[in-house]
Amino acid sequence: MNDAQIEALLRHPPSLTPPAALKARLLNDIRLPRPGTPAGSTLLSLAPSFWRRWFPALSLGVLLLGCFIVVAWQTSQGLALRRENQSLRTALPDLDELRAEQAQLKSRLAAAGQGGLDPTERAELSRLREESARLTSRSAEVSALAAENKRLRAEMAAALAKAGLEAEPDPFADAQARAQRVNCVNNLKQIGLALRIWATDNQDVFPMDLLSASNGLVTPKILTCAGDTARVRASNWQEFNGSSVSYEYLSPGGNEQDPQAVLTRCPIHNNAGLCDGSVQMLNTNQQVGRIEGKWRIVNNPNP
Amino acid sequence: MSDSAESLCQRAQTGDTDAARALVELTYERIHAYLRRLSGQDEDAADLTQKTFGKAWPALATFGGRSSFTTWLHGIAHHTYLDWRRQQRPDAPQPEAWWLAQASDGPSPLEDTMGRDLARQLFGLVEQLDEETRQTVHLHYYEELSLAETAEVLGLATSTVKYRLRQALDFLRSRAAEPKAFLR
Repeated sequence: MNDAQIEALLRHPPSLTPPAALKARLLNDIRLPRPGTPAGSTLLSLAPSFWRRWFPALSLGVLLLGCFIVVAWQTSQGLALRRENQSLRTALPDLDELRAEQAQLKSRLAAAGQGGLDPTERAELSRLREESARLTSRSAEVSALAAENKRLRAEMAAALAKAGLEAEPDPFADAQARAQRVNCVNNLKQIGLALRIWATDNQDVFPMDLLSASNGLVTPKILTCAGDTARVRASNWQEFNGSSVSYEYLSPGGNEQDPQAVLTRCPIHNNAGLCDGSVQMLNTNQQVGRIEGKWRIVNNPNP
Repeated sequence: MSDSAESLCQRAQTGDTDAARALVELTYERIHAYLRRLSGQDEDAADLTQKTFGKAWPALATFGGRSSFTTWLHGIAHHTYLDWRRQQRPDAPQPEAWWLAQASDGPSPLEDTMGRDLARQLFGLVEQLDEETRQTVHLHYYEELSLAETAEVLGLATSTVKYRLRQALDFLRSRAAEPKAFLR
């Protein structure tokens, strides 16, 4: 039996008669969709065949797309790295300069670790320290000499008293008293200047108290006389109060029309500040007195 | 028949029920025969035929005329049979007695007794083929579909269909030459 005979037999299979009721059932089951209605369920039933046919091509396409995306991403990364490398290479000539600067900074940092000073400053500092130590030793020596001097003076005073003689005046104390009086004159001059400045701004009339002219005073220290040991000198205006004032303000509300009128007075040193800004160091024959309602320098009737 | 089926299909796509009835009358015997030969049971073949047409009507709008209506309908029947086959026993061979009865009752291409014996032997051997080759033989020879149509129904390349048919003919020729092959 050859192929042609087999094929001829196969093309004539036994005929089959369908059941009689099948045709009626099929005709009864006809459910045509309305025109334009998508065939949803049947599409789903045919979908497996579609996917089975196209899955290899689709999967290959997805794989190629993924490879393309990966290659593109790697290429972009490579370009970015190349640009960065290029920029680093252009910055390479500055590397030596940066290294020199770094070495300099390191040396400075090491110097700072030794006190933050360069050699000349360190030498100056050591010289000053030696000077300070020398002065400290001299100060101790001076203190010892002063104590010895005081002890000798006391012994001499005792010996003179025993011999009936008068004690010799202390030349250092006189000099200190003179210096304090000069300092007092200076204070009065500054106070007078502040009062005159205030008067210039206020129709040539002096203020009613010294504190009103405080803007013209550099420091409240000048309101306390150096020889006034009973008062505490205020170092700033926050610590200042009325008890720190040693001087008498004699012409509150006065004017500059009478330059010889006494404006301020130091009761300790008998110094008088006048309305013209001058200060007089009064001697034992002079004093400040009131004449016709104004304070003036007058002769002392009981010197 | 093909032109008539396509024109009827176009009318049915527009909602013409009479055209759909004509399509049923035109094709249901072939679909039933195809499914009957594959399934081997009258009741199963009738149910599968009903399911095939039940799937065909909602999908009628998707039929674009790329193939003939008969091929398209055979494709639906093929997938319906595959779905049914997966739910059945993995291997339920066709009883040879059924083919013998069909061959003796139906019209035979050969007039002599020798020819009828050969036909019975051949149809029985076809049922011994593996499932894929058997379906290919059914579509191409029994249903008289062309190679391209058979390939479209099975979702295969034409060359694959040719290869399967070649395998089937080799098997049938070798087994038919054995003197007692049809007695098994």
